[in-house]
Amino acid sequence: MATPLTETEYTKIATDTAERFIDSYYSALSGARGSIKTFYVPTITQDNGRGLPNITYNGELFLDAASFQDRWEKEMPRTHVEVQSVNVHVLNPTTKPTEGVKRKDAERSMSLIVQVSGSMRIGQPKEGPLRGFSDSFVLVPNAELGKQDHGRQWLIQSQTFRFVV
Amino acid sequence: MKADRDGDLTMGLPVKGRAGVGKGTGPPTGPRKDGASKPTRGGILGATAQREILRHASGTRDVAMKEERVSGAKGGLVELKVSGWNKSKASGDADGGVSSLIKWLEKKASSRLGSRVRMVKIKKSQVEGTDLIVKVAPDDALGLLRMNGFGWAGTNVSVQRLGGPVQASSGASSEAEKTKGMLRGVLERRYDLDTKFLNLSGLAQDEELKNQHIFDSKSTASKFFPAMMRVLELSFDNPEERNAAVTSVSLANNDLTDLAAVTTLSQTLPKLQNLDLSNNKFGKLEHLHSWRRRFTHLQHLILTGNPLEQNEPNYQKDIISWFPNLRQLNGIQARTEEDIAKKTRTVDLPFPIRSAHFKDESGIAEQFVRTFFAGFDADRAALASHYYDNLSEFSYAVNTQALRDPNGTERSEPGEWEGYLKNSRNLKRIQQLPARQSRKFRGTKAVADAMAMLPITKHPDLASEARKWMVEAKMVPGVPDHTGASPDGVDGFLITVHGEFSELDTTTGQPKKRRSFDRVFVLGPGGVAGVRIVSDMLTLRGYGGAQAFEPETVDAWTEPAPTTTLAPEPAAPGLPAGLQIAEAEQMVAQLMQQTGMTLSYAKDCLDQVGWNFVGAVEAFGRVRSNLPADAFVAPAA
Repeated sequence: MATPLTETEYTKIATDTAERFIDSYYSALSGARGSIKTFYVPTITQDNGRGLPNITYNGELFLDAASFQDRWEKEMPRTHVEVQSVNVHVLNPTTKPTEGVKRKDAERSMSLIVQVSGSMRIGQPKEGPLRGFSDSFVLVPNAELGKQDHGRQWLIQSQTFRFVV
Repeated sequence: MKADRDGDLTMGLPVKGRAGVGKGTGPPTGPRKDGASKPTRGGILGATAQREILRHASGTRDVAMKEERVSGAKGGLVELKVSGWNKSKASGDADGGVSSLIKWLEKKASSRLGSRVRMVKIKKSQVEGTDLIVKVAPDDALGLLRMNGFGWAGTNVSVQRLGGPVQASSGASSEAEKTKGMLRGVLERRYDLDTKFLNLSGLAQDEELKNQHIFDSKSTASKFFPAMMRVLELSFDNPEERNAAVTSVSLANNDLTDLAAVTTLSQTLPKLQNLDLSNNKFGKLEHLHSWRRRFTHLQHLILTGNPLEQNEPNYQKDIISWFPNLRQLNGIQARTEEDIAKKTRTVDLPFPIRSAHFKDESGIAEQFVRTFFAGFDADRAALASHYYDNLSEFSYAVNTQALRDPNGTERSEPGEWEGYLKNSRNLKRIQQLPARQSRKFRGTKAVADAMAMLPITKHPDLASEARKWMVEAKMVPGVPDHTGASPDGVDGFLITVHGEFSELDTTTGQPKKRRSFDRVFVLGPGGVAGVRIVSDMLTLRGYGGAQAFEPETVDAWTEPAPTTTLAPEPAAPGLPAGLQIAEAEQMVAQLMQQTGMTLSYAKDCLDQVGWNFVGAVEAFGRVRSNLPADAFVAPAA
């Protein structure tokens, strides 16, 4: 696998990306629910439940980010998320052919898998029920990112969330 | 009953209707201007016994003791004159009612609502003509002076200062301080220490509030309740003491049409257990809406005597759903303790807890999970060579702050994660790039070595203890292809497992500490097992129980894609008549345990002998040597 990136560079890109992504994603869940759908890849419909994005939330499957965002906007009480643990691996280092690829492009030709553990306060601050959760994401580069770098660099292709406590 | 024991006879309107959250008595309504009321009686306890109890009560409180000593050191007692009592209905008592008057004064002047409970003690008393001269510590004088004009045994008593040191703080008090004192008095008067009940019913009929013209103008009326809640908050050092001191509130008989005036109650006493809203003018559910998702500890709510009952006959269902811990609504059972126990951790969320979303193909994911955790417990080196290759990655992160089992079955101990922290890759804690790099393991050997450093584990049996597991699986595109045939990657499985394990004692082999974990695998095609682990991330956390995995509803729900469960699914025609699926599952599990065969081999084996367990074991014995390595759960060593 010819790639212009070193192992350490992969680790740096992956961990930096994961941390930044987690920060803005959970902030949006609590404070900017109107932007939730912008965190996900555009909807691709496929048979057999294999469309994307694939969002599994407490066992319920959402195959488009808009309906997921809608649920958050209209029904979810106030939430506060505390992320207590984050880990990330490079899932696929070369999602595109790498021959003769420039360094900058190589940085955006990988997919990541992120695992998060934390707690979520639902409803009243300090008083509402507190639940432990586990969340995991497959992140892919935003293929439609414009020349001016408008929009998010990384998007969620697949997510599995569960309350675990 | 309370009224009798208090000697307080000026009881207001009894709460109409049924079962009040308190004891069904109305509130004391403040100083009486009319003398028409019931005569007082001695109450259940004799005066001496009561004084004994009071003395005992104050003696057990360090704070009160200290204050008394301090004030004593300031020197001298304050002398007060109490008059207007000698025509009371207690005047027929042997002592002319003096002892019950003293008892009443002490009790009423004491402050019971607040972090600094203070029991007023009359040190000396003497009857002079129609007056009672009492001597009290300077700090107690204020409380007694507040009693000026209060009704007792059909009369109104007056309390005046005669002499003694004047407390500094009792000097020039601002209008705001006076209002505060007045509100405090109202709260004190309406609070019952024994039942932790704050009776705020019929406030408009409260003589003292009437005298203050609180409800005469809209502006004072709207400020009154929030101000009173503020005074209540100030009486306590912290919310915990406040929540513990007041567990029941009545707002009955207040002509409330909505919650606007009283909404601060939910901020001041968020952990209220009993709430009486009866005999108000709530017309619709929406008028109570702002308390939806408040009062999460509420156990008993009373809403009788509101137009709501006629306007929305089915309102109970909504109300019960608003308060997850509600046991009784209007005195009628809403939930059993069993229901509550079952639901303790599940709130009414827009993302209801559902059973596992398990989207497998040809049983690959299922087979993997069964084999993996059996191997992780039994032989990690063999497991590593079975599923991990030179590009497989493994790392783990410890979440030491994770929530624990709400039932508190496992204690956290200092240093309990010591053995794990060395390689933990929790990015919240591990900030340096070299450490982040070195705590990720790639390749069979590195993975095997890292896993060997983790304590020996025992996971619960997947078949017989399925409720301790939550396993979900789905397809994931773009998994790297080893062969290079598909540069865009291939389809793989993403498997998410939540569960628990026990660490085993290395010498005795006995289970020690229980912990919980979350693990995400990405599987791709290839390797000796037909699937290889591309990525394996593990989060370790304190034991969190399994109650979160319980689906809220077991009934069918619409789901975009068909799911299968982890439990073996015998082909419909495969099972002989009369054999329950559960029995079949148990036979499969037993056979797996006894023979070490995988699920599908065990099932096939039972199938071939017509689901006769002994026959299956015998059949296994005959064909054992001919079975391929992948027929066994434990990876071929």
